[in-house]
Amino acid sequence: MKLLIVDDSSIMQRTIQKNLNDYDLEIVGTASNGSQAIELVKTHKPDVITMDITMPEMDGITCLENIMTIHPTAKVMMITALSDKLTGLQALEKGARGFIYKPVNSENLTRALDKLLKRNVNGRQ
Amino acid sequence: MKRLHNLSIKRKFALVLIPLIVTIICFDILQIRHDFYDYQDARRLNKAINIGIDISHLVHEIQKERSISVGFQANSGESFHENLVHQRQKTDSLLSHLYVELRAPTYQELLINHGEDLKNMKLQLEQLLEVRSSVDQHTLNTDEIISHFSEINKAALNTVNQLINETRDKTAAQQVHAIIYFLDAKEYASIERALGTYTFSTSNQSRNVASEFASLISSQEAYLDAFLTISDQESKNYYFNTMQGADIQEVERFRAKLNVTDNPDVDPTEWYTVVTGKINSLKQVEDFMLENMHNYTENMAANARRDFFIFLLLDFLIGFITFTLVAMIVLNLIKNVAVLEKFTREVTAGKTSERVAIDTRDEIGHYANTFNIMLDKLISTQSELKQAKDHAEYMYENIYKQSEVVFENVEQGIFLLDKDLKISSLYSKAVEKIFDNEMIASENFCNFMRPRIMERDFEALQMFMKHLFNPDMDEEVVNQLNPVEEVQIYITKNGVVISKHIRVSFTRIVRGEEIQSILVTITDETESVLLQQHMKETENMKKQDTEYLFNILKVDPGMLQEFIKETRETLKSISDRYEQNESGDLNELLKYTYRTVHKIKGNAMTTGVELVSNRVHKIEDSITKMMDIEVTADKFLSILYELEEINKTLTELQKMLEKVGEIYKNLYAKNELSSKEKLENDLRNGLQTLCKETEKEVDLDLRIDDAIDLDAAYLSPVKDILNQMMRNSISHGIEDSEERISKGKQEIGKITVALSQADYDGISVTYEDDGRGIDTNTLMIHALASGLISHEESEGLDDHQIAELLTNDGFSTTTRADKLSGRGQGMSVIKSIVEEMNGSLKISFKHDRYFRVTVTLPNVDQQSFEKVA
Amino acid sequence: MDVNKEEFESTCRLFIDSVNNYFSVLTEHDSEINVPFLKDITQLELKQYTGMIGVSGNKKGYVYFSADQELFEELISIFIGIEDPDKDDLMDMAGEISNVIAGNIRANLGSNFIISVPLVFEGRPDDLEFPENTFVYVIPMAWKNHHAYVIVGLQ
Repeated sequence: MKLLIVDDSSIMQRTIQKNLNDYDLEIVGTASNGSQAIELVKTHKPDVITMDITMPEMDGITCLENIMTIHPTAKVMMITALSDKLTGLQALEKGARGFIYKPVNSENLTRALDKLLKRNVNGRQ
Repeated sequence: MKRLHNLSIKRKFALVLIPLIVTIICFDILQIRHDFYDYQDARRLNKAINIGIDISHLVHEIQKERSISVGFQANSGESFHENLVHQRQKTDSLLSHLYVELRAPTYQELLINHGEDLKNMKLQLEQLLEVRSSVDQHTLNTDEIISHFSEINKAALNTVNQLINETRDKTAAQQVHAIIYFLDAKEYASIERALGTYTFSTSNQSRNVASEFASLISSQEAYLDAFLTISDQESKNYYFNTMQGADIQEVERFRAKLNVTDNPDVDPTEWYTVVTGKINSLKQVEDFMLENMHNYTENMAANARRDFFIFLLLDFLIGFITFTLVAMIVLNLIKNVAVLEKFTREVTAGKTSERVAIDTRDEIGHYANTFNIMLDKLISTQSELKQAKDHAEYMYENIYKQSEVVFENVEQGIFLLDKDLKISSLYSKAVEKIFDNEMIASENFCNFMRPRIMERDFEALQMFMKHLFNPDMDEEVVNQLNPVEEVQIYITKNGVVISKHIRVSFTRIVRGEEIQSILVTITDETESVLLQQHMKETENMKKQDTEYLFNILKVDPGMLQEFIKETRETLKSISDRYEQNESGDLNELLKYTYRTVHKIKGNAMTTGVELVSNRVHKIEDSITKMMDIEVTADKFLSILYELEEINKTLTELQKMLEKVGEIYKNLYAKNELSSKEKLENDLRNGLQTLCKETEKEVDLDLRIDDAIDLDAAYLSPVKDILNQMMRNSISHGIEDSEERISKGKQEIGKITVALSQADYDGISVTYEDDGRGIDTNTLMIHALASGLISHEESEGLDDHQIAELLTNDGFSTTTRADKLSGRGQGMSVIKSIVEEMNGSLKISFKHDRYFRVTVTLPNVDQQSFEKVA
Repeated sequence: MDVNKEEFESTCRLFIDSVNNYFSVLTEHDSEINVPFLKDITQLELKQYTGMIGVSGNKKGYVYFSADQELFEELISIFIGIEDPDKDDLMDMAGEISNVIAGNIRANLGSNFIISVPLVFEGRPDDLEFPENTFVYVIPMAWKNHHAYVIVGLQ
């Protein structure tokens, strides 16, 4: 499966990458803003996308909305420090399938990803 | 057929048994009747044979008389005369005997049936007299005589025939016929005798006697043959045994003579005798047979009678036994069935206390047993069921009641939401309380919440609920985004909008794959009472603050100005100390804070700025509380905040001062006071305030050396020290007037303060009161109680050591903490000020006389106390 | 006064909790808070690298997370295992921490608490932005042997 990481912090990109080493995921790209992410989605059609919300140029919610029109089957998991509920719900509304708050450690990241992928399997049955 | 099946058992039995019993009875009756008829028949035959015997005896005599009469007529009365008379007597005797018999009542019934025959026989017998007289008169020829007598005999034998020929017994009937044949044969033999007697009595052979004889003999033989054919073996044997001997052979001889010679020379008497001999033999056979027959019939009657009675008895017996058995069995069966039926009805009606009692071991008995066992099982099952039912009811009742109680009393608001977000009709009472609303059931949850929460939260809630019911969304993921997890709700209560802080949590209730409903739990976290109390306190405080603010107007503006400036410095110094003290000892920092604010409080009080002293007192409160628990760095936040608040108050005071500045401007100009005057003013004002509060009277004797250069740098610490000392004196040292008088002291207390230039470019402050001094014993007790010294240390303390104790943090001889006395910090505050100024402190006292403190402050480097505004 | 005090305290507590949460979730060491102090904006001292988050909405102001290079180096080492991060990485790390600390607070202050993309700088720029006429609260903290400031300046 193909994974795209969207986060304006390169440290976060690399942290996520490091924590997902054990998964059978091919990282097809990392984006540090929404516009970049959309380009990468067009090219690679990733199965799984992790998405930050607070980013320069285009925020995560707008980016998510665009991605869902281009590639609706993508399983997007929001990873954000923004702990306010409405933002999170808006993300779900726009088509996100997972949601975790920063700070993210490997434990809650893998747990959330397990959930996301399991959902995925069930959805196809 | 169905109607037959539907009959009750009793009727079924009746239907089967009654025809059977009737049939048996009918057969029995027939059998009895048969036996009875047999008996009657036998009886009748027996009687008939009795009469037949009499008749045959008579016939036998008439036969003899016929032969004798023929003989008498043939030789015209020469021979047979005597015989005839004799014979006639014999015949008559038998005849009269017969008549007597016939009149006997035993035979009447029998004779009625044969009236015709008897009448005919009697008619013929009555002709016997006519025939006899005709014989005597010889008017009749032989043939006529034979004919007449034969007629009579014929009638008599016919009667016998008729009488005995009526029997239902086959053996008897056969034998009767044999007898009849035999009687006929004998009659022919008798006629042969008569014809022989006539033939041998006359020499005139005009007639063809031989053929007549031949005919007679052949008839005789024919009847005998018939007799021998059907007769029983016993009679045959008797016949053959009897019919032999001389007479029989003689008769054959005479017969032969008749055939060969036309005129045989035969004595008729001899013939008569021989033939009579033969006929008597025949008679003997006849009698034997009749006798046998008589016996037979008698036996037959007796048998029939016996059979009749036996059958009758048997019938009764069988009838009785059958009836009894049937009665016993059927009635028992019917009774048992009835018992069972009744019992079943009772059981059906619910009466299960009794058991069916059937002691028979047949199917019904087994059935009853089985039924009892079934009933036992039924009852036990029933009781189990009842128990289960009771238990279920109890549980239901309990659970229902408990859940009701829980729902009534649980603090959380609990209800379910269906897919349309409708609130369940069952919800906990707390829901009503939390929302102050009773119209909750069936409301749409989002719509219900809408007027109570912020529009943004409502928007979020709608989205949230949608995702919560979406099975593709993970519950945990969705619940992370619960917008009303902690939310403020607004409720209009009696026209007033109040707010509450509630916590709402959601749990999916899943059945199978489907999310059936959502369990909602609401917790009220407002602690509204506490909040209200806080608000009230704040309001009071504000009122007080205003009051204090007005009071400040009474304070000398110059002093106030100075106080504000000084206090600001002090406050800043605290924050500075915090910054420097980053990783230092937090407890020490807290103590430092305490000491510093305590100093501010002292100044505030002496200046008369209650607004500040009040707040500082609050800070002291907070710090005291903090000291009890482990201090963490974040605790300083609230202190910092409060200090900032004091700072703000000072700013307000400053502004106020500026506003009223115009009023005071003149006063400033006129009364430009020297620092010495300011000090004196401050001290006297402070003492006044303190005395007012304690209702003590104290004089202040202040002596300030003119030479002294009371620089601003000294002014503040000296004032702080003296303020603190005065508070100590008034709260601990100087007694009330009553006590003073009792001690022989002046009623008014006295404080003496002397400021002088010290020897080494510093100043010396001497403070003395005429109060209690120090009671070393009391001091020691407190010191021991506070754990400041050990018992060993407590012995032999000198003044210096006692002073050490007095200036120790946390030492106090007063258990009461009020604004005036502080909390035993007085001396330690003084000590810390002195130490800060690198000065020295000396304490001396005399119990009940005085308490004296001498402070020496060295010259201060002006630069280090440069104030930064 | 007390209501405001509570509000003030709770707001400060949010930041403290947010910082503590960050370190306890991501590292094996908890952070410790030292005695906070008030500081005039002009006298504010900063550490080597500072991430700044602008706050707008109901509350306006800034939140800073300031620490020395070693703290960020150690965090980077823990997160992605590199020992010699370049300056960009250090600045990135400072920005991310500020972002998370400020972002987490939004749950409690609502979505009207709008935070900006972090701005990161080295040293102490002259035109440090804070609302006028306010003291800022400096919450010193320690994590392992490193020291950092969480500086809150809100109206």
